[in-house]
Amino acid sequence: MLSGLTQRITFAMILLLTLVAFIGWLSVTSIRSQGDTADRELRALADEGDVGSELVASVMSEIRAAQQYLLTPSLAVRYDFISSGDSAYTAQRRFGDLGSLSDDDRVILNRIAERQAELEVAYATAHALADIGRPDAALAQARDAHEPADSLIAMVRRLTSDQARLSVQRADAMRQRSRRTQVILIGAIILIMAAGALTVYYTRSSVNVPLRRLVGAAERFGAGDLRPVQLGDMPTELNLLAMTLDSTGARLRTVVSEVIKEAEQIGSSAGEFSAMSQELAASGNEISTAMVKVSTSAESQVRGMDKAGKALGELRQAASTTGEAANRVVQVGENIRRVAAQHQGDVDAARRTLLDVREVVRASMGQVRQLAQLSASITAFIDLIKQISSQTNLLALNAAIEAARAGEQGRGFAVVAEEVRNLADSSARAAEEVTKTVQILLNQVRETSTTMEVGSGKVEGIEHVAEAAARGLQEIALAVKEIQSAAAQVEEEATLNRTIVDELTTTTSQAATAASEHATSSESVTAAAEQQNAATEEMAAAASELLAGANRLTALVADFRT
Amino acid sequence: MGRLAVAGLFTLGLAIAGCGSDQRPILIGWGGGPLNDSTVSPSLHTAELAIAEINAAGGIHGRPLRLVILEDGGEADSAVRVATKLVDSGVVAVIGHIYSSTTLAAAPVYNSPDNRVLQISPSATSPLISQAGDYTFRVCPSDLQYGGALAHFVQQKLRLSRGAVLYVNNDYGRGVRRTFEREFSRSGGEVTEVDPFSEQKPDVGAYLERLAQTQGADFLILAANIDEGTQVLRAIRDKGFKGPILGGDGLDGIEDAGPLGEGVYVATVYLPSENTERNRKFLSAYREKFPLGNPVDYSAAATYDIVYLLRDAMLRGGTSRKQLRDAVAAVGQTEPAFSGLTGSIAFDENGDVPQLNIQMGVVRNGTLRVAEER
Repeated sequence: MLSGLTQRITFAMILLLTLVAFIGWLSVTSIRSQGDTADRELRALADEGDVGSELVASVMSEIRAAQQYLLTPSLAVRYDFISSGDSAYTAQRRFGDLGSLSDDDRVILNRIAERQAELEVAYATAHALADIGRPDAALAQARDAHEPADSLIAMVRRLTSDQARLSVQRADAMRQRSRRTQVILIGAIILIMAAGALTVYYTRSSVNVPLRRLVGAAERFGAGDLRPVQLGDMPTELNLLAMTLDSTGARLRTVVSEVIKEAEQIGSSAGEFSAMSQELAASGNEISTAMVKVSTSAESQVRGMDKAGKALGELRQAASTTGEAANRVVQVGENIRRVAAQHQGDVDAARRTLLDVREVVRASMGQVRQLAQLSASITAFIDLIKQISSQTNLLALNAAIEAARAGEQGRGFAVVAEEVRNLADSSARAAEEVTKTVQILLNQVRETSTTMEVGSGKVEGIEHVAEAAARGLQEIALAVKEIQSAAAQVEEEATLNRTIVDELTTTTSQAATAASEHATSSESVTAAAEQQNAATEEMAAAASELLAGANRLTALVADFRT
Repeated sequence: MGRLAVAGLFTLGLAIAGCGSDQRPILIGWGGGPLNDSTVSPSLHTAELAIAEINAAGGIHGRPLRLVILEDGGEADSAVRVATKLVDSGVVAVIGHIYSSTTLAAAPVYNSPDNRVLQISPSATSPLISQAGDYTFRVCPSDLQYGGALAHFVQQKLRLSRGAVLYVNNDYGRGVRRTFEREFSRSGGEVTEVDPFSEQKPDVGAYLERLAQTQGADFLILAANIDEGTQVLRAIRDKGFKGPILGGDGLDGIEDAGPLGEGVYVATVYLPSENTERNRKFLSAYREKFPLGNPVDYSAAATYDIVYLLRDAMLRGGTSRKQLRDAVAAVGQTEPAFSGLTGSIAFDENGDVPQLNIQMGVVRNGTLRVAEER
């Protein structure tokens, strides 16, 4: 019901205030009532005293006046007698009005009035008797008044003494009442104090106990023990605090467990990282290996260059052989022309014979045409050679450029490349020469063919010519055979040349690639190696920092118990 | 709606009353005495008569009235005990007492904070009754009024200026004596003697002798009740006093004393000879119920009025002691005056009826008639 601290305190305060107000009211009331009572009692006592003495006095004065009238009768004394009597009645009435009288007192009071009346009648009669001149009767009558007078006085005294006794009793009663009030007040004050103490105790306990529990929980949290706490029943206000503490704990637990997880992860990451660093070192080794490979490849490049040089030498040789063969073909052609001129008569003579062999010549013409065609193929071949040498030249140029790019290491190779280029130029020139020779040969062949066509008509029926022609033709056949073999040789040489050039091409391209690779990889490897070194250092530093951080973090969170 | 509800409640009340759910009698006390006194018994009888009439008419919402009668013998100390007993018997109001002395003696009992019971005297005329308490009322004038009325009558109507007062030495007699003496002296008259006599042995011979010698009185005020008053009157007659003899309400009934009472002036609020229909009905009812009873006087008529006044108050205010007292106190204040045999009764704050008209009667041929000038 009273879950809130404020409510409890307010309730207790209201209770206390109510009690205090009650006590205050009680005190005021009782003091006032006692004051009133005392006042009333005192006034009553005073009144009683007044009334009592007035009653006694007026009765006495009435009796005195009555007696005096008997001795010295006068109207004044008679009125004194009457008025004293009236005063006595008034006093009796006031006595009767006092309120403190018992019924018996009232009866006594009534008797007093009756006695007084009796006394008055007796004295008044006595006075009348005295007035009418009967003093003896008057005295006798007055004596009759003595008895009621005595009785009256006795009763008055009794009444007043009764009242005095009653006053004492009333004072006692008042004292008792005041004592009772005192007891009640003291009891109430004790009650209030008890209620106050209880309130203080209750308030303290309802504040302190939950507060202590809260402080304990907070200290536990502070010490790193973040396990949830049971705080138990709390006043509303502190319950808010408890709930806050609880949620703070819960949040801290979450945070710390996450931090621990993160720390573990960082630890493992750092481990991975160092592993990576190791791998990196390994890759550094690999790079050195690669460097070795580079140097190896440089060597192989040099070897390839040597090979190219050799091949190109062979090419030059082959080219010169081709030139020689071509020269021989020219000489063979001149020989043929000379033989033909020598045997022209023979041929005329042998023209009839030749007529017979016209068909043979025609066949030979076919063969010559074939030869022309062959020459054309030589031309094509020479074009090829020219093309190759041009490409070689280009390649060599490229090789020189690459070699220049390779710097110091490529310098030797640049010389080789220059030589290769020169070789290619020579080869091209040789090929040009061969082309020219073949052109001349071809022209001659054509001429021969034309001549043969012209001569074929003329050699008709000439047997000698035929014989000479046959011999010339045999020689021609032989020359042609030689040409054929020369051509074959040229072809062979050319084939060889192609192979060499191919090889050269391969080698030079290999060399170029290797050189390029070499150059590129050397540079980039150097840069990369530097970069790698720096990165590796940084990485190592970061890894160690990371590890240290992870360790610190782990140490830090190791204190938390979640 | 409210009116309907009230009507409903009223009907319900009647129905309950009719069903007799509460038919316990309402007790009304009568305290007085002595019962053999010729002025006391008619008071008791008229109370019984009025209650019988009211009960015959259905009582108070169906509850009958019942009279609790206790005799105080006309003695003051006995009146105190009677008052206590009446209070203890559970009466809601007391009619009584008859005399001033008994009424005054009993008043503190009725007014005591423990009791608080309404007391209405039909005939206690002492001025002291006015201050007797909030629960003490009377329906008769006080001696101040009687004394004043007598003094006024003597001076204005009888035109006499010297007289003596013979008084019974009790509250009543002294009251009349004092007020007459004061009022008469104030307006120029002279009271030559004031002579007390005993109620039990009313011996006034010496006084009369002295008066005869001094010739000091043209008239006599006889402040006494009827019994001792009759004896004193006889003594006066024997002495051959010729002047007018006047008395207060105490002498009510002197007309029945034969030749002795002839010519005596009586101040009263009720004259049985009053010729009104209500009075005739009252007289015949009384005679019918109490054929042998003493003739009614003003205190009997006043008692009859008190019973009806109480009935009206109970119907109006309720039947508890407090309710009844407040309802009675309201008569003539917040409520209209009660019109009875003795006149229009309207209480002042002292429970007196100062407005009540005092008449002077004179005994002529055994009947109290309205007195004219001599």
